[in-house]
Amino acid sequence: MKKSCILLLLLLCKVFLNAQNYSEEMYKTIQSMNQAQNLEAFLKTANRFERIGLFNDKEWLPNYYTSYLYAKMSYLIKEDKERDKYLDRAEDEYSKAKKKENTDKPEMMILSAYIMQARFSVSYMSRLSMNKKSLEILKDVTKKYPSNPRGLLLLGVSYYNMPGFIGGDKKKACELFVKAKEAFISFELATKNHPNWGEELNNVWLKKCK
Amino acid sequence: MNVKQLSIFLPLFLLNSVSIFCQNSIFGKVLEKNGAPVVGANIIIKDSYDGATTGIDGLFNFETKLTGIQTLLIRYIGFKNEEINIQLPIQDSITVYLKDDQFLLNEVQIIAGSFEAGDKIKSVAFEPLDVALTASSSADIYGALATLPGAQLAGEQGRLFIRGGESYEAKTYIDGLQVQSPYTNTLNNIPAKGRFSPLLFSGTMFSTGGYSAEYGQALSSALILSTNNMPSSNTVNLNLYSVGLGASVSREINDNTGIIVSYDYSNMKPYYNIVKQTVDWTSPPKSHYGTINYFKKTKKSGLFKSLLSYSHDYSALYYPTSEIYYPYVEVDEDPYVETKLKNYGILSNNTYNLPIGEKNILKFALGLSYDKRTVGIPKYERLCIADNLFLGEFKLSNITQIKEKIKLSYGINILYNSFKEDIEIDNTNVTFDYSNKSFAGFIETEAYITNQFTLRLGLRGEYSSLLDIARVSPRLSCAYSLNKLGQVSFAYGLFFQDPESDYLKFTHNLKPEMANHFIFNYQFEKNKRVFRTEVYYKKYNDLIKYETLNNLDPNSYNNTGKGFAKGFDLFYRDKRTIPNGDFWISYSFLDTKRNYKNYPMMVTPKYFSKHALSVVYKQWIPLLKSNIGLTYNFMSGRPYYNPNKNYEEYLSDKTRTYNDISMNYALDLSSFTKLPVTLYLSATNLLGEKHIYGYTYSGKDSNGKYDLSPINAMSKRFYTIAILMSFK
Repeated sequence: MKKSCILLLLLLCKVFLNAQNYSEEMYKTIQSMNQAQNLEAFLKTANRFERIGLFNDKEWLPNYYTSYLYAKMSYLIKEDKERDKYLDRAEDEYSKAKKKENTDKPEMMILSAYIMQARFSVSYMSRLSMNKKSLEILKDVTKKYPSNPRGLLLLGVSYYNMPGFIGGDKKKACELFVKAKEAFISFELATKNHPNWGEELNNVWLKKCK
Repeated sequence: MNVKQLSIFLPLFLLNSVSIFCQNSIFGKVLEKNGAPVVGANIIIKDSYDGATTGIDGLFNFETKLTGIQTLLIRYIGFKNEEINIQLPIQDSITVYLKDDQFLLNEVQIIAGSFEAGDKIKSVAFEPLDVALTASSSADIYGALATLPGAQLAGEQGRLFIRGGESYEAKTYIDGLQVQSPYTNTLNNIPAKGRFSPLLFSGTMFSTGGYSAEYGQALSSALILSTNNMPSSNTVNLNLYSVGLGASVSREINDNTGIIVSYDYSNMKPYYNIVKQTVDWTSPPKSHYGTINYFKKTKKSGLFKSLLSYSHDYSALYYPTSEIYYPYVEVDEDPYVETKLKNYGILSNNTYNLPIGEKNILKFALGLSYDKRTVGIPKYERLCIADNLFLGEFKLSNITQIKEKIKLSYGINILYNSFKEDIEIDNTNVTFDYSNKSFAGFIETEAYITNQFTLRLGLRGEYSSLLDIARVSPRLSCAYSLNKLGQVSFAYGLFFQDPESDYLKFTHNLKPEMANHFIFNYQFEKNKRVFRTEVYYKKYNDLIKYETLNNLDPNSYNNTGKGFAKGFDLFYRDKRTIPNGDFWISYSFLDTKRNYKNYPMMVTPKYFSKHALSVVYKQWIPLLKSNIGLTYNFMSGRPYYNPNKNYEEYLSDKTRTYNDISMNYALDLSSFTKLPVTLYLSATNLLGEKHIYGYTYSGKDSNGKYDLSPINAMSKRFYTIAILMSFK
């Protein structure tokens, strides 16, 4: 009895250590993601998230961040086919994250819209429907979760990039960026490792509106 | 557990996670099979956070506190995972070779003979919006396809002719089902248009030969269209055209159900009053066209799609008497006679796709269509000719992934078509009719044999009850990647098509027409630029021959006709060189001869030009929120028959060359109107050249010579003005 007690304690200890390690490791990787400036650095952090994800296969955040980074990296690549490869990977990680428990619903919806926007930007002409789809998702998110700044930001991006004849509206877009700026200030994180990106990007868009 | 036991257990346990022992360094490199470094690969020690990313030269180097036997996992996008076991500490450098994950990439796609565009297809050559934005197309699917290599549009017909094939040899399929009447029905030498709006479709695959065994009953070409997917929003579109108006409503009823309803009305009368026409219309064409698309997602990720389309048009004009040759009818001296045309058409296409497990997709399809075409000439004893056409098709197919690199598709289709022609002259009725049941089955496999080589083998069998003939057609195509130098592909196929109703209504004692295709393709693609060239040879056998059309004697029709077509295409498309611009140049050389129909010998049919050139240019101007499109089309002279010459010189004369510059302009007005509004303008034939498509002849003049009159376009130019609005 005593023996098994110690064993159990040790096991718990290990689980706890791992959990703490996980959270620490995630936090550090998110920090380095926030500092990354180029493709090489993004790829490094994406690989780190991937390693964390493989080790902690019940967690959704590592897949979430890997997916986000691959979508983000796709913008830094020139060759269309290569861009699509990165986005295939982003979709793959997204669907892995989606299968896990305790995901953050609005953040997941926003990520899927983010990937679609990237797809659209690879080929504006042939993928108008992608932009339409992402627009619908984002409208839904901002309706249900009006305080999520990333939803507002990406909805603005969709309106901004869409040709007028299919519903684009730059004025509306800029209003959304202003709203998002406020939302970023008041946004509260569920945990320190929860998605919190987009503020800088929003500022870039705000500058475009001036 | 005593202390001694614990002292053994604890280090073992700690070893696994937070070892306090010294750090081990792991270093090495990751290479592709051919020795090229892999930059950015993820090196992972399994069940740990330790690892690294390869830098330039594919080198990696990191520290770990782990010891003992560990598994190293190496991952990189587009490559297969590699695992190796290592014993830590390790002194030597580790070298890992990664293999391409060819299945993920599918880099070698078979492209011989086809242009494909769609949401999911990564094609540079052809895109869905090309139809709307190609200036000379007048928003007609077939008009846009005519600017692609291998296709020619005969101006007086408005129909596509592919690589020396007659227009009826080019079939259109919607969601895998044959379309009975893809064009609006018109009289000879009055150009037809595509019956379906390009907005209905999200995917286009245009094949100029060598297509898959899934498609039968097409001798030259297959245009495979896929209808839109579920609408993801509620929108109302309102379109005003210079010749009519249209409206459509899209509704997402719930997450799993959607519907799109659209209606168009056109009336050419106001337009024809302003723009002079060569044809003398007593009633310019009026048409109603409506569609309903219904979508339903079922449990287990099935998707049901249904398309219902209805069209109805009416027109009347003075038509050349010489063009009317019909049994029982004796025409008089008047060169023109008033002719009335009325068409009804209804089509219902239903498909249900059901994934079964992760490796199978089962597809059900049912298509029904009915067309009624009536031609009336009141002057000739109230002559009225009514054609009733019915087509029913059922298709069941399955696509299965039998191995990681092998895909198999197979299926059956059952077709029933009937034709009934009622001729009414002065209260006397004559009827010609027939019906045909045909059964077909196909099987096709696509294998990624190596990273660079893809092979597709197919077989199709068909049986027609009317002709009582069974035919087997093999299809083969393959593609080989030359890596950075592009790819080559090859396609071969045997194709059959039952004779047209023009002959079957008089005799069933005929065979299907037959064609062999050989196609060789080379394509090079880089950075939004694509170059492709195709060389082909086609051999036709068993073509229908007769002495005079509409001869009531069944024995006057036979299958002794034959012919060939050979040539090459060049195509270059560039979306990079000009900022916000996009252009393509396509050239086709065609050498074709046939001895079919009533031809006295092997000659080039009247539809074909030896040389055809298209230049299509589109420019987006962000500052003006405008899109400008320019198209130049050139065709060398087409053969025509001069009846004043000997019959040995049949079709030996050529019309003059054809030159056309068309332009369109789209302006986004949303910043002025608050609502999304687009203004669209287009004009064809800016040069104002008088296009001659051929000549007709009627009576002899006083010198005993035939009078030749040119077949012209109906008007010098065609203008379009449209205002497109969209509401949420």
